[in-house]
Amino acid sequence: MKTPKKTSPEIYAVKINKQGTGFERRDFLKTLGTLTTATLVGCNDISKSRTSKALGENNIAPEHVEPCNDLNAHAGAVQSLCFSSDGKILASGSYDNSVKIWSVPEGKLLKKLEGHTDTINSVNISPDGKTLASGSADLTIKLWSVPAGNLIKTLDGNGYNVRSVFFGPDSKTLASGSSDGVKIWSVPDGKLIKTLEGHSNAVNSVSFSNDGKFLASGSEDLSVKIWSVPDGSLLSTLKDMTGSVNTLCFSADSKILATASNYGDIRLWSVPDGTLLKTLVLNDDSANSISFSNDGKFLASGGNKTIRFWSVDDGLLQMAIEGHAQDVNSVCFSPVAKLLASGSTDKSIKLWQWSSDEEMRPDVTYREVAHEQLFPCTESGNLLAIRQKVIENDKIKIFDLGISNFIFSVAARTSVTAMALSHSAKVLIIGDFNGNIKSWDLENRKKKPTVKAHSQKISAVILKKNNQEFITAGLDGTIGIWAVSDNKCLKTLDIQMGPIHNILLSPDEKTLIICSNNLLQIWSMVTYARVRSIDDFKENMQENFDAVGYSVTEYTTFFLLSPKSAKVLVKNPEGFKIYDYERGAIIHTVTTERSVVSASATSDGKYLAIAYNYGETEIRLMENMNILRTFDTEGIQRLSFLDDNKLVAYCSYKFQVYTFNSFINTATLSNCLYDKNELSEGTEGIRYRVGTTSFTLPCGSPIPEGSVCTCNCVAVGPSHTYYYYSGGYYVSYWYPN
Amino acid sequence: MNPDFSDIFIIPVNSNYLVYAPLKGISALINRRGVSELKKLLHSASGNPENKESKLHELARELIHSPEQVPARKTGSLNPEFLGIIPTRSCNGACNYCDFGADKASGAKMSYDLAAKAVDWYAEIVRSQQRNMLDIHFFGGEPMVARDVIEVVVHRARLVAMKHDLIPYFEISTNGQFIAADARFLGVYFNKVVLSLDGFQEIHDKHRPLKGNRGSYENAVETAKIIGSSNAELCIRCCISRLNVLRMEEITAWFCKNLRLSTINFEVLCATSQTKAAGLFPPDPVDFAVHFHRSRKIALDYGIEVVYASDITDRPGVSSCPVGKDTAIVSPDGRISNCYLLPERWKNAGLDLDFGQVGKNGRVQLEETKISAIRGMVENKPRCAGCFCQWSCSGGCHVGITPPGCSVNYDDFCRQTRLISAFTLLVNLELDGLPDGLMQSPESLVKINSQASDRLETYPV
Repeated sequence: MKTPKKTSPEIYAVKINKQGTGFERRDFLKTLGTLTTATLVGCNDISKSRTSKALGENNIAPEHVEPCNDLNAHAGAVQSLCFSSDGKILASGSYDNSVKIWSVPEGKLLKKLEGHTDTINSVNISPDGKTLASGSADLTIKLWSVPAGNLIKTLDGNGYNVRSVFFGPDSKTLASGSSDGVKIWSVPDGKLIKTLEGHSNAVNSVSFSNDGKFLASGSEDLSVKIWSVPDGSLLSTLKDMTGSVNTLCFSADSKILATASNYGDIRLWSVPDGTLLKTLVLNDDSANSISFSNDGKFLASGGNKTIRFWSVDDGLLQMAIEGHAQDVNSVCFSPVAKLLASGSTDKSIKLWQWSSDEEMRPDVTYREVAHEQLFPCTESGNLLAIRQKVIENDKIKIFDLGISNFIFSVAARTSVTAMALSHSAKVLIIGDFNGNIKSWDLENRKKKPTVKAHSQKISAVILKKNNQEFITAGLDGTIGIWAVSDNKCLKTLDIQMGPIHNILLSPDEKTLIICSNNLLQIWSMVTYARVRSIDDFKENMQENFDAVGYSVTEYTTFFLLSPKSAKVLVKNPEGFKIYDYERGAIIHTVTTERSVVSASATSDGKYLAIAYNYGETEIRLMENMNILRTFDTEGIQRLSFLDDNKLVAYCSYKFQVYTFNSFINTATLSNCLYDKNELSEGTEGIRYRVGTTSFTLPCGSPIPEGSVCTCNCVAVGPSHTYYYYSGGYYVSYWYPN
Repeated sequence: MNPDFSDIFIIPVNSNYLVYAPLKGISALINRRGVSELKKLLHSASGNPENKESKLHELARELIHSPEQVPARKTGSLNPEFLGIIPTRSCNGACNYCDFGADKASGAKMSYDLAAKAVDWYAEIVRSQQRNMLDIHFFGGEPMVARDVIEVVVHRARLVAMKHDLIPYFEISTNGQFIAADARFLGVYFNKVVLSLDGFQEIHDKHRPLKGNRGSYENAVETAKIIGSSNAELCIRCCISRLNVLRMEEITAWFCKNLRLSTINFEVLCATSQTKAAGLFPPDPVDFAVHFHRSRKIALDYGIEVVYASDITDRPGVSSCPVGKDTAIVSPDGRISNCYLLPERWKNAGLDLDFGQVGKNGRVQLEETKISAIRGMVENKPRCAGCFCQWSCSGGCHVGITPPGCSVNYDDFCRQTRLISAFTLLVNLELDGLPDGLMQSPESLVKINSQASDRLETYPV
């Protein structure tokens, strides 16, 4: 630069940095959910670690850590599971010809019951908890004492593979299903009482109702029969199954029978008339096993590696977990706790903590240290762009939620006040405190020319869908439309409504919604003329807004919800209103003492998330403002629904991502039951896996005294030194106790 | 002049002057007449320039009235910024400029017990200071040679962090000479990986051969790519010698295009008998500064930062190295010191930077008098007395700057630091082309480096 020689004093540039206090150049940290400590032995405390991943309706594959799947409960496929009525004992039957009795609270094997000479197809524990029945392909039924595991009796008289056994509510009768049909046995003396004729093919599944009035049988003859107990008369036959009936079960109140067939869906029937109530659609999977929760609200089904949870009321899939490496052959809800056991061809048994009204847990928490706020931030598809403030030279960090990874950072070298990011992370545009635009072609890592776009701070940047143009808004009260290619100005709109704090573009990009302190205007992006002003509806609005400046704190008055919903949340001292700017009408008025900090709607406009001061967030139905649930989001500053309905909550020093299914229910892995004698040969030391990468710590590693850990699984070293380790996030290990 | 203005500096920029008050965060480009007038305003008896509206008067008022943020010496209980762990001094490399003798170091590793106890001790400090981050850095030798120790530390720290609601943060400086699985481990568990990569293969392998004079470039690049695609931030540490100084821009462009990184940290090779024997020499400081600046511009286009460790103009401090910041660096034998260099280095400079020991019984013993002495030591930098970088560079490596073992005259380190800092200040003024204009004037560059003192109060204008 040439500075002409002048005799007068000249200052060519001045920069005054307001020194930050306490900011450090620290980076984002990712913590993997919320972990709790547990005592070592038995691993019976519930881990909140994110070792299971919900499959949404789109069946997105889990992206997170899997627990190590080589901890075997049996030497063969686990075929059947049953809880005792007090929930403390779990029985398992396997293709390894054995039955095992497990302590649920301690998570350990109590007894291995050997005696069958062929695969175990079914196990059942009597309601009085004293007897366990096992049905086997060796054509026998064996009765065992619980919990001692002594063989009481062997019931011969089956000509075929016994496929299912089930105790009657009195614990004195036992039903079995096989190619012989349905047989009723006397437990005390082991004698056959009755054979129920009617099925024309093998009976795969039998079940008594809890009230003792009904017995259901499902068969390869493509039918289900409901029998009266104790006389054994046939009450109804449910036909038109799509295939062999694999499994069935009664709800706890005995009013509903659930059935699942090969190649078909799960059906819910009214008992005893057999009226079809609902069909639960499985799409490409099948149900090898089904189980009702004790409260009757949910049904679990086990299929191809996946456990599904269904709402009984509406028949909708609530969540799906790809929790096993192979087919899930058996699922069983505990009668007392919100626990589900699953057994699989992968030889493992897993216990899942089922939470329907539990504390909301985010899928992932990203924590940034020494930051007061993560604003501005922007989302695009699965990508988040977040500002990391480093004195006056911000860095933008981009995260890909699809792979749960920080991808890369961009040194902005200015104080960023607004951002826009394209879906594929190809274009990043930032606006800064001084009204400048900086942008990058991220694909080619090329910076575009910096442009002075506004005379004051840029408050919003929106990138149009074609990635060719973007729109800026500034506190100078103007809107700018720019070309992405070279940051050239295409158009400027002088809105004349004072400083503009936020803008929203409609899905068809023909309408721009503009917010200032206390005004809302609708502009046409076709004619570039104002269409409507909030002044037109003054009589419907509280006028004493207290908006001061632009901030993501409680002083913001308007919260633009998702573009498709065409709605704005307008805050007032009494609470808030939902305003439909297309219709030009207030559609909801909500009274609350809390102050809205941020709000966002799902892309379909059905659900609304509202964050309040003091860190509480609500999920409401847009239709009627009913609250679905509330949860804590300490230090919340902004929240935003992504396109796939993940909810991102930006808090003081972290952001958390919730999947929408988790608003309703959660299921997290609580424990893996294992038999140390069934572990794979060559297990050495501690093995754990993160994603697809395995790590090993050597045996004999000394362990700090008093170590505790959150643990799901156990491994055994060659010297029988016990090591406990978690589902793959980290390890602690200690000497045998 | 009011003695409060002793921390206003001035350096020539072509025919103008950069006035810089680091403790007030003020910088300005002024012509000669402006400087003269400014000095008069600052000298004025009332110390309160007339309430006029000229830019000069506004600047003078800012210089008078803006509060100074003087970095204070650490006091009170030990409060380390981070815990340094040296799991081993040994290394699988044989870099020709290694200051640590790592290729010949014994294979002694830190014991697991000691590692866990160091973490516990540091966590107690963090909690007592009511901070929320458990910040642990790994150095060597090559720390990944003792990966098992690193794993103990990482898992212990995560456990402790979970118990006490702290946030674990891990950083490692490494040569990247390990298998892909090890790289993935770092990618999963670490926040930042500082990987040494000195440019193109022929340079890197000349600088940093493995034992037996084998090349290390390919493994380093492979590791960089794995880390770059992981959760961890990749920072490349690139050592510049005469071999690669003129190719810094080319190297920067290659890094930016081929690696997914967030930062490039350029360092300058330090001359030793070993480097001379290998035919390696430090670059000319002016060359380094100029090419550093140009590299920075290239990288910014990619959104990547290029840093020089002593160029911290945005935040004044008493030290830009671990010394003086209470940093606790634990060696394999349990000594706790403020520096990760070999003790022989600082002892040869007449310094004692050890201040504690992690005992076998797990108890940590600290020598408070030594801590206090080290804290005071960082303020004793006679070489820096008149330098405008004294609050940003803060003397660089204190082993090299602290008497009695140092010269009071500027050396090449000072010269390149002064130039780079000057460029940075000019860039921040957002006057396009100004730094480039300065670089095109060798006389101006010489002038900057030949000033005995940069203090405005004594500057002959």
